[in-house]
This record gives sequence, C-alpha cells and structure tokens, in this order.
Amino acid sequence: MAAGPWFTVNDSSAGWTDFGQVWLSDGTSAGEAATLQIQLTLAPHRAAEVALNVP
Amino acid sequence: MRRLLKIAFAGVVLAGCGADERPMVVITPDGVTTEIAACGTGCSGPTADELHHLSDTDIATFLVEVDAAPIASPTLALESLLFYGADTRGYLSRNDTSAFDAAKIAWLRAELERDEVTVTMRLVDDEGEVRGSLEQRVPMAEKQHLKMDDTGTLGRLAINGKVKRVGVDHLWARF
Repeated sequence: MAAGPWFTVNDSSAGWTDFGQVWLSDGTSAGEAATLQIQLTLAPHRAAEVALNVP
Repeated sequence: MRRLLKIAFAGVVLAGCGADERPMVVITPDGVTTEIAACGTGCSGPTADELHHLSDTDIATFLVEVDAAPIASPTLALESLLFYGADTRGYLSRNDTSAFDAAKIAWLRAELERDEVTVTMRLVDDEGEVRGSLEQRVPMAEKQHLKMDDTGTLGRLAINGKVKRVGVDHLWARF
C-alpha cells in the first residue's frame, strides 16, 4: 500500500479537525458514512510535567 | 478538507497489521476489498527527515535566523530545525552555541525534547452521533496501532499510523 499524504493538524487548542470519511459497513448492507475527527496535543515539556507533579 | 480514508472497517472485529492479529481488511465505498500487507511501507513509511538530513551548514544558518527573530516565532528557519529535530539535537550537542541568545537556545532544546503527543479521535456518523472514540499518548514519529473499542455493534476499529512534528504549532498525522 502506498503511503498516503500527510494531514496537517494544529496543536491542541484548535479543537476537532475532520480527518477523513470512513465507510461503515458490515459487508451485507450498503453501509453508512462517518467522519473520523482528530485532535493532537503535543505533550508538554518534561520539566513542566515534573513541576506539576511536585506536591 | 475531507478525504476518503482507506482505513478499514469490517463487520465484527477489525484488526490492525500486527503479527498477532488478523490482516486488516479495507472496504472502500466502491466495494473494493483489500487486505493490507507490508504496512511498514504504508502509513508508517519514512518522513523526509529520515530520508534526507539537514547539513551542519544549513543548521548553522537557521540558528542565526532563529537568533535574530523573537523567541518561538514560527519562521521557516525555526520550523526546519524542529522538523529535522534529530539533526538539530545532534548539532547542538556537538557545537558551541554561546554566540547565540541563551534563552532562545534553551527554548529550542526544550522544544526538541517534546517527543510525545496525545492523539484523540472520534468517529461521528452523519446524524452527529459519536460512534466511537479513543485517546492515547504516543511517542512522536513512531508507528502506532490505536484501537477504538467503544464502537458497540460496529466492532473494534483499528487505526494505524504515526504523528510527526512539523512546526511550532503544527503536526502531521498519517493514519
């Protein structure tokens, strides 16, 4: 399978991005369309995470 | 922008291309069914930074440009350094950067260490109903097999691919 194109997504706060349309079918019916939505959130700096975990 | 994903959906159980699972079956709207093999050449294929490297000369040039711009400005120079993160990290570890603004270099080093991303997905049908969802923190630029288990009668959905950082605020996803 050839590699598909990359899809550019904003980091975190942009909310849901429509990633593509997926066809749902059990193989016995015509099926139905659905939309796959995505959010990507870059993990914070490790130092920030450590700081947040300090009591 | 919408595009038709050739990801899969099969009736009862969807499996990814892991060796311990059934081959993924792809059914496109035109009825063509394909089993995906050799997924290492598909959605997990190499990115440009794995095929071509940024030279030390280019990195040095970009660092000068980054040093001249306000911190975190999404310039081509900065985003190139982030895209070619491995090359940039290597350069910074081998070379003296004391000629540059220490705060900017420290910021760049910290950004280059951000190597994980939380992937959140949901499947919404044409009536607006959420038919499945997932949230998982994954390493950057490594092939992942994500699973949507809460899809009810639709069966488990396997979504395979990876995420790559391409800029200050942008990522690439290919699933």
